[in-house]
Amino acid sequence: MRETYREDRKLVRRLVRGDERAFDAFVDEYYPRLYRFAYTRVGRDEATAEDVVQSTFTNVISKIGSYRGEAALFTWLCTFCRYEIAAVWRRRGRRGSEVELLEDSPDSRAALETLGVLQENTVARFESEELARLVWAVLDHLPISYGNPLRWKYIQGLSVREIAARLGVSSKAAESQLTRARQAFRDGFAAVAGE
Amino acid sequence: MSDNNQTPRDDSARFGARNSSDSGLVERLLTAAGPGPEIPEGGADRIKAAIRTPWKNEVAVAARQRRRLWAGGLAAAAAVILAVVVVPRLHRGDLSIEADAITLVVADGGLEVTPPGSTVSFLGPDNAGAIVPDGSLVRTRGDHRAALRLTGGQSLRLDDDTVVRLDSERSISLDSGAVYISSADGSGPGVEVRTALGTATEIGTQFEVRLEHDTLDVKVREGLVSLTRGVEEYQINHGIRFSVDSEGAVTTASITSWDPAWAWTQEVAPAFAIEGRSALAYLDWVSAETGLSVTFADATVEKAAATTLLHGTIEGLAPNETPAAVLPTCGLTADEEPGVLLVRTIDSNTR
Repeated sequence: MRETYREDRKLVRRLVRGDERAFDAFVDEYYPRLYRFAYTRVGRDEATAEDVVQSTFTNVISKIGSYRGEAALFTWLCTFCRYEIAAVWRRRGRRGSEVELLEDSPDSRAALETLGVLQENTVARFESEELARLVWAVLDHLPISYGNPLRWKYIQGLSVREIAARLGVSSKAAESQLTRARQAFRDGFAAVAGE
Repeated sequence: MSDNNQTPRDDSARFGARNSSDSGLVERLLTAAGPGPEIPEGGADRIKAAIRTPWKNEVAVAARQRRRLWAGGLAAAAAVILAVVVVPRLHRGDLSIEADAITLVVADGGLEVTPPGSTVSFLGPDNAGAIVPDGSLVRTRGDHRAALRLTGGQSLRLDDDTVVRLDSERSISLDSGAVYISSADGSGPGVEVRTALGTATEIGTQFEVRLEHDTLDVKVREGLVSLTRGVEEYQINHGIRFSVDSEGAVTTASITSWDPAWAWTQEVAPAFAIEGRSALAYLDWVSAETGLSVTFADATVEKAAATTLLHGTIEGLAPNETPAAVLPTCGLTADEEPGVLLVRTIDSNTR
């Protein structure tokens, strides 16, 4: 995970210096992740999720220089997003606890930042929807260099060669990256699932 | 990790036939989960449109705050000099010091130095000019970076989390991380960078060697680099990024001299001593450090740059930050376009 924070710190440092490419990469990489994060927590309301994410980015961009790399950038962004989600529920006169998810429990939140070992039978404990949500949460908390290749390979069906082209590396290097990504995913999922 | 034979309840229906392989389980999980909620089309663009201006404002505020911190106490001096004077956030030594020893020029944070047969010492921003003995193991940790001046005059810059050994005046062993060599000022014999995956030797150039994730990455910004791996030898021209992994698989890609991948090298770039130098000489240095080609709006502007002498110092500013501070003192300004720094007179810029 240390490697993740290092890349995150670099991205933020470029943002603070006014690098346009860093700005594009920041929004392009984290918009989908934050949208998925918000969507499952605002009653699957698309418009509300979009509003929440826009408010999150608006708040974050004025404080981006305060990111110190002590947690993953996505975890840091989620902190802002949680405030926006809580505000939505307050406006609706309801408590946020109504949408508390398994991955929001303190143990699971901590687990997303730690490691564990996935047993095959772990997955059987969850209903499909819950399982899907956990998978997305783990994918979104993985370093981008792991999460993206896994999505490309197993959800979008890209070949290793196509993934290599997207990463700008050889097929062998892409295969190695996928192996590391799978391991990281297994570890992360096992930890969140409470193995 | 084990794949035991306890049969979960509807496991086979949800995840397909049991497969004990690592990739099988992950594939079944991801396939079962699907792509997730559909991401609104154009959503990222709407976010960019909404926050671009606030972001640029924040960038400008941060830059002003940095300069304000440095400018305190020097207001009186500023009245009698042409160039902006700032107090450095880093101590950036001059490239011309200590010609016969490896010296620390810039430390952005701390630098660990372990001379042969000795214990580790820590050098910080206040130690610019300190001699680093031949054979030392040098390490940057965390966000820290550093620049050394080699005995041949080359600038050796260490990215964060980098470990190198200074084997001799022209040979460096890179254990991990990344180094950047710049000999653009016409310095001594070519420096070689040895790694477990090959040895890169410069032939009058600016280049980076990075060893991460079992992959050796050589990026050449200027000139030519020779890379040897056992009996194999590759000539890597400027504008090329060459990667080879531990299995020997090679990939190449193009990289511009102003690609953001070079940005870290500016953060520890030794300061250019502008005192008494022409604006043209200063712009040559900006070009070498930023990778941008400097062009002039017309011959009058170029002549003005050649005949205007600068005074003061730009210590503490990264090279790409200096044009905004220096050029207005000469009645000039610059616009950055892809790969180009276009220099104009302030009047022609505002027309």
